[in-house]
Order: sequence, then structure tokens, then C-alpha cells
Amino acid sequence: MGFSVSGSFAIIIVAAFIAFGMAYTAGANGFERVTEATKDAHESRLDSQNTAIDIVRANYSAGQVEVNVTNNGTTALPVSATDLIVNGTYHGHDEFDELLVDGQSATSVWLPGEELFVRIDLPGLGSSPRVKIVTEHGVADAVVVG
Amino acid sequence: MASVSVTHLVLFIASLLVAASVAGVLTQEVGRLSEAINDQGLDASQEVRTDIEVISDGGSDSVYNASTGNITVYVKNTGTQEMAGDADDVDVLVDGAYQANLNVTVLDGELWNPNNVAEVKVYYPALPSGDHRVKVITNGDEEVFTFRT
Repeated sequence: MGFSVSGSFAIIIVAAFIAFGMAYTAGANGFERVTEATKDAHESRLDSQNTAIDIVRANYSAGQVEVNVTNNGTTALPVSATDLIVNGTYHGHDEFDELLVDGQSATSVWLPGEELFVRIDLPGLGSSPRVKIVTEHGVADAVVVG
Repeated sequence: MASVSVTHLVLFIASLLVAASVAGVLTQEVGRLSEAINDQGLDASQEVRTDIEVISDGGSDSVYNASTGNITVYVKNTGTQEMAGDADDVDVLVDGAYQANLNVTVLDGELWNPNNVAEVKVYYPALPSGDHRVKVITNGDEEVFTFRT
């Protein structure tokens, strides 16, 4: 009788250890994933709060839209995440005919204080098109070219 | 005397079998529970990572095209979660009414990766003039865009 109880108890204890190990691993992994995601979301939110852009010049002539935008925030913005919306139509950075950051084309980062120049050929827009520029985090500025 | 030993042996084996059954059920159920916890953690982290922003220009008059009957909004993935960017993953409400007839296209990539923009077209013929609200929902994140026709 003694062996029966000891043997059974040993089997159940081993199973309980295995079960606890599985549950703990799953719980810890899930918790870590959510914590990491929350941290990234907070960092992204902070970057968004620190991002500010301002269109300093916009011009439309000879079928070309030209926009100069200053990064007035404190975050470095990726040039590849910059989009242009002209008269409500989207134009991604791949469609830009010229893209300069402080006069340089060989950079992919738009640093605080620097000026981004965008030129895109869009003939037939009318006299005063509306231009909106959107950066990373969705921070945007819009202007009617007058 | 021998009968006592046999009885003990039978009881011993029976107890081991019962214990093994209990152990098997215990580990199996906890295994299932662990998988569910894992999936739940993954879903929760994906929801936290998802963030979208409607970047359409509400000031322009091209959000609604009366001749085609399409409402077009551009939605940027401003989070850190990669998404498929198809109509199955996106729900749209126009003035509070759920829209099933919609088309989603990622404009600058194959997938709706962070910083990519998706074009959401909703077929809504004869939208009356006035103020309208478009609500875009994906992976638990929702954004409202207001425009006027």
C-alpha cells in the first residue's frame, strides 16, 4: 500500500511540474510580448508628440508642384515615410521627381531643423492646388498654393 | 500469504494507472491552456502594435467621387505591426452604417507594412450632400475621418 501511494504521488508530482513549466512559459512569453509591444507603442507615441513639420513654401508653375517643408520637431524622420497628397490624390515618395534634404539627395534621413524639398510633375491641376505633406506617425501639414 | 502479495501488486498497478491517467489529463489540459494563453498574448501584442492614421485631405473635394460613387480614404500604418492590407482585415462604417462593398489596396508595397499607405475605396452611390464620418477599423484600432460633400 505504501509503494502504491508513493508511486502515484511521484507520477502526479512529475506531471504537476511539467504542467507548471508549460503554463509558466506560456504566461511569461505572452506577458513579455505585450510588455514589449506596449513599450514600442509608448516610444512611437513620444516620437509622434516630438514631431512637427511646417510647409514654408509651396509653388505650382509649369505643371510642377514644389514644396519646401521644415522639420520643426526633435525627431529624425525617414524620407521614405514622407507622402504627398495633392488635391486629395496620394503620391508616395517613389513618385517624387526630386527629393532633397538640405540640398542633398544622397540621404534617407530628414533631421530636426533641416528643410525637405519635394518636386513632382503634375500638369493640369488648376490655379491653386491644395497640398498636404504627411510624415512618419501621420504628422501632417497642408497648404493651398496661392 | 501469496494472495496478499498479489492483491498488493494489483492495487499497486491500479494506483499507478489511475495516477498516470490523472497526470496525462492534467498535462494535456494545461498544454491546451498554455496554447490559448500564447495565442491570447500574441493577439494582445498585435493589437497594441497596431496604429493607423487616416491621412486623406478633408479640405479637398476629392474624397467622394459622385460619378463613380466611391469614397476614397488613404490610411497610413503608423504602428509597428505588419498587416495584410486586404478588405478582410478592414472594417468601414460610413455615417454609422457598416459597409461591405469596399476595396483595399496598398499603394506603396505588397503588404501593409509600417509607414505604408493603403487606399480604402467604399462604394456608396448617391451620398447626400452634407457632413459625413468614415470610421476605419483594423485589428482593434479605429480612426474617424470627417469630410463634407
